[in-house]
Amino acid sequence: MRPSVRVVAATPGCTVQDAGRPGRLASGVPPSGPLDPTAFAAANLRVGNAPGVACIEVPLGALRVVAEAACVASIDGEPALALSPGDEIVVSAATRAVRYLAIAGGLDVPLVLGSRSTLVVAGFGGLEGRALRGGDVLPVGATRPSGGESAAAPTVADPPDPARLMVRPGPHAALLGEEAWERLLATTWTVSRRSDRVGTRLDGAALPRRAGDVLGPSPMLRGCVQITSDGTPVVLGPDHPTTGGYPVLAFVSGASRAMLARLRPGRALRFAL
Amino acid sequence: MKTFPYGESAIYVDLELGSGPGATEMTHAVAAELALALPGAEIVVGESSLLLDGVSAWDDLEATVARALGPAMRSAPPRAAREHVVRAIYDGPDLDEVARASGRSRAEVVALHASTTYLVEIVGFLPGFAYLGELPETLRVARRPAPRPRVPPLSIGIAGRHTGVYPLASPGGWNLVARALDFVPFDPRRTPASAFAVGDRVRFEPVDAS
Repeated sequence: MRPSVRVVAATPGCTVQDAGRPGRLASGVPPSGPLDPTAFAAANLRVGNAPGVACIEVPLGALRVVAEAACVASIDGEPALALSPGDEIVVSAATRAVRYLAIAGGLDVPLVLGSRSTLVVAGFGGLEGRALRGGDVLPVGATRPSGGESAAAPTVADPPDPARLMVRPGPHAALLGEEAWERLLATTWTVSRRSDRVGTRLDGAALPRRAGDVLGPSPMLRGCVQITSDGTPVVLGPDHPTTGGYPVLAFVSGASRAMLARLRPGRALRFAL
Repeated sequence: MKTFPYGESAIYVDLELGSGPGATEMTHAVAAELALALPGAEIVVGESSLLLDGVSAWDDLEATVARALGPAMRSAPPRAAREHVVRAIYDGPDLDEVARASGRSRAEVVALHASTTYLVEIVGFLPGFAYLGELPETLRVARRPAPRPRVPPLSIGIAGRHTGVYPLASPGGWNLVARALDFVPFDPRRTPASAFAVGDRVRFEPVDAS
């Protein structure tokens, strides 16, 4: 029998994620992959997995998983745990919004378009294209010959309060006008509860829109700060639409995108150049 | 044209060609020229804008774009364009509103929408979605003021000069006029996964709800 782990209980939105499926934007497929690549990499490293092996992403805790065979697990790169059959591991809610459970050997769900990442909005990848729930059984792949616990993994920083995210002006900043840009930088924003892997909505102010700032379909990327019709900024996440019609006021830099993923709803942030 | 850095490793190119099928066609022509010059880059085509991913700076960008847009603009490489007939039940929740806004009857709206052959102009938004253009002038209505949180899969919407089939349940602000029958816009196990490719032609065939 193949080794596996069984989900006992999962909060909504727990998904299988690997390094994602980059390079398919032109066919409408977003990159997916981990919200927080640093914590994801640390978890894999600690159990001796190659980088980018499929883990369980746990937004806003909690996840309970039972080992159905002996295996080695790590949460966010914390010291690895050796589990015997029947042992339970709990990923509890933490200061950081998103956590990763890595199992040595990785989760061996089918490859879809070159990746094991779940794209819930399109209903493919991961386990049956959906978020995990109690009763799900996930097969575990073969460990590497050099596998097992690795000595050290980078620690994942907790964001300061308020968090500081580095931005650059986006392609439509001029279209939206100086006032929108200045208010983006001057406002202390909070992470909205209505956020997911598609985008993080920010509460705090309604940014001004201008007549004629609606675009034809335009290419989008993770990190784009779109301004919706009612002036709400939305920072696009890994499951973003590949094109959109809302103007892009700013672009959040790479390290700051991981930092944003760590902020629970209600946490404060500021943008800085 | 204007170019902007787009994140750490991409360039956003605004070709400033305006809006319309001609603008989209020229954008595809520029994308084809760029793909020849930069075989490693990922190129995403919008309406008069495109994204070059995997390139943070490139000296020859302006010259290549100018060449593509110049008088010697080569015609787009021949594609195996396909024709699709999508069966549709015209009972969308916004049909009355579209009829009101366009000053036509429901039947006229249906006849106009279904008598046009559309071109797949842009593939994007969600896996399997395509911007089909262009709608007859009469049917060009604005997006709904507030997007619906959930549009049912296979809904056929219209907004501006485009129509399209929502491949999946998703939020959406287009006016829903119909729903497609027996149509699979995207199947990751199929090659190609998307039913529609840029350059294909699409027609909708009204069928009775029964």
